[in-house]
Amino acid sequence: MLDELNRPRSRLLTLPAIVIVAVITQAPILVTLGLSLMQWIVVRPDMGVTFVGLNNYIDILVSRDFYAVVLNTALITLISLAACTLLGILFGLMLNQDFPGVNIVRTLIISPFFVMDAVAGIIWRTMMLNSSFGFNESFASLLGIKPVDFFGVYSLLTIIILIVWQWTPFFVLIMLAGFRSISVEVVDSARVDGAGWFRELLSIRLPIIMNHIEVAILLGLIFVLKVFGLIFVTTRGGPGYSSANLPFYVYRTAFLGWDVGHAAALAVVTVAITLVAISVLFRWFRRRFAESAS
Amino acid sequence: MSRTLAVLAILLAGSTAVFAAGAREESGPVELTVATVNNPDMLIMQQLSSWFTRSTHIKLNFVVLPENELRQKVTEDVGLGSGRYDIMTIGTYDAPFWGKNGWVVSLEPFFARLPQAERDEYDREDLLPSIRSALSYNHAQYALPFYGESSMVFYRKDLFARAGLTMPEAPTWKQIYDFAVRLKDIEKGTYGIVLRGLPGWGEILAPFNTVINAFGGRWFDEQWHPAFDEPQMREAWEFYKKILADAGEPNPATNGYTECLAIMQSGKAALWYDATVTAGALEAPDSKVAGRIGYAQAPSARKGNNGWLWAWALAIGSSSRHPNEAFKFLRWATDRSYISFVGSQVGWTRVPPGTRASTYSNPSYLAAAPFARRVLAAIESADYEHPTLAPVPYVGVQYVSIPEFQSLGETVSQQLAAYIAGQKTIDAALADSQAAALRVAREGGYLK
Repeated sequence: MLDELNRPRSRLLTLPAIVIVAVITQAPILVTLGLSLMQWIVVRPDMGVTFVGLNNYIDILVSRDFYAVVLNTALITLISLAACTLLGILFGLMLNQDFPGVNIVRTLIISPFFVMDAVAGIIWRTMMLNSSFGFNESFASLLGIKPVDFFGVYSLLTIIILIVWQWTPFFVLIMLAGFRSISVEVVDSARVDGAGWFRELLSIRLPIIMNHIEVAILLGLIFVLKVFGLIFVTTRGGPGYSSANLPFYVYRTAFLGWDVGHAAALAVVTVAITLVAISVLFRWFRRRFAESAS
Repeated sequence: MSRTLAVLAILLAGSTAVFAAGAREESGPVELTVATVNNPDMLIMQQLSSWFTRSTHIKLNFVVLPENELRQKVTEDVGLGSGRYDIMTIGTYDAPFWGKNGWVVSLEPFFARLPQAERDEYDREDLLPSIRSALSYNHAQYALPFYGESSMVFYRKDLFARAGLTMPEAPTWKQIYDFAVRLKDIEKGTYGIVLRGLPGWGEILAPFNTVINAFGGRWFDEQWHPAFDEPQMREAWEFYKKILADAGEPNPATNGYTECLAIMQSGKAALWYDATVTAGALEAPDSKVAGRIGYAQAPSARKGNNGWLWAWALAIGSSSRHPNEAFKFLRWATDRSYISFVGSQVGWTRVPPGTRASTYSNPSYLAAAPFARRVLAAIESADYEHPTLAPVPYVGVQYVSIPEFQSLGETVSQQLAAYIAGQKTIDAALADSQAAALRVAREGGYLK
């Protein structure tokens, strides 16, 4: 059967599928690459569309704002993933116990994951953290202090907290699946050997669910790098660029500046950075899988 | 061969049927897609539009969006040529360069074709001249105003009386600052003043640009050199931060127009400087401060007459397939009789203000809207063409009328917000704003 498929004529049969997949997945990238070499400002049709070579890339790479946004993206991603992993493990361990009401607690912990970005952002911005009429104001006036400036001074931290609030349930689900897959015999034999709770966690449970942790981090990385809605409805990337990440920066360039060339170049750079981050992580995971297999 | 012919015949018959169905659909009732903003006046228009459909058999599909999204969607639509909307809601900022770009059509030929009786009935001369001029390019009008506004000071008469203060007719920013500081915490938790702090050129920059103008600042000099390094500009930035810090609402970065309105309506602030169109909302029955609000002119400093000028207006997209029907709707929604219709159906405080002189001579409206004369005076005196003390190469009071202002305004507003939040020094924020303005001036070909 495999020989059949390897024949040149048989391979031709897969051509339409390859063409369709290539057009659907690669055409937008090629168009973006093409646009990144142009100067095209939509609101200035009198300036036309002109070829400017790598000028858009040079403009981006010499801009201080770009590096500020890259740093924000790195901070948002790393801190959020670390916090989500830690909380995911803790809540996973907690929910792996049998106690009265465990199902209700599970549902409550997981529910933030099912709230849409924009809705969650608006609720946090207006009802919870607003300094003039949110819970923030109520608590502050109760304590007789000034409300915390969540969307001004602490805008980046606020974005990270909201991402962690929204994505921790996803990590919890995966970790819980991992903890559930550990056989009781393994845990019992560790206990018979005298392992305490902490030793058992470090030497038995965590190594066994390492594959789950890695999958959660990998998927989390892809999702957190793309966060947009939360930033859009809460801080709009500001004040300044203090809470903007790369996807939001692309949006701001494309839909506020209507600068298609620079936005396309930024999108290409963003994709490149994302691919590098993911492939580094992949390689690290593959090495770890190989080690654990041997 | 015969099989091939049969297949071809079936395909031909099928396509003919499809085209015939399409043609039938074309000859049916006309359907117009209207992109509009989600403010109360536009929502009333949407509710009442069934009357228009009933009398003209023209169907209307409304796409209702928040202001920022509306501008993005319609710019995308016209800029990239997808032609989804027949009628678009645009502002005084957009109208001139949209007209120049050919994205919306000139309304002059439509008016020229109107029979004299209909032209008289619509009475374009009744439209307020400042608004009409702001919606024109090269002496041709590109949009019909749906409502217009300027800016003014709203203050709590009861709190002023309790503190023994008197608001002058035309206050200065220095006086506003002193009042705000005096009235802060006059009742537990009362803010002395509420001002927009949310970044965005349509948010914080609207009031703040009039502060720049008042202090004698400007965005560009006559040769399009950015002017963020002028002392008057720095003074305006420092003043806005100082008044917010000393007497304003805490952490203003999340407070745009809507949030400020909620604060003022709930009685938590003694003063507010914002759009005149707000007067109706503050006097509405659901407002806690109805009947307790006084009005004063936009504050001055080195320059007087600083009220802004804005109108939401309806325009016809250049790719509309039904421009004549669209024009019919534009006339219906901006006519004198529509204003009376809203007055009789919804209430006189809810009529769209600031477009027609006749609205301000209507006894029913004047009786319901104590703020009417002040609003008219503010709109009529708005210095749209000479907004600054020193000469400038642009028009527009609370914006700079160049297409790039959407982006530049956003950048500068973010710098201002960062400065107010204490994340940036004034030197850094002004330097970054200057650099952004210089880039726009160079890349846009303004700076020679």
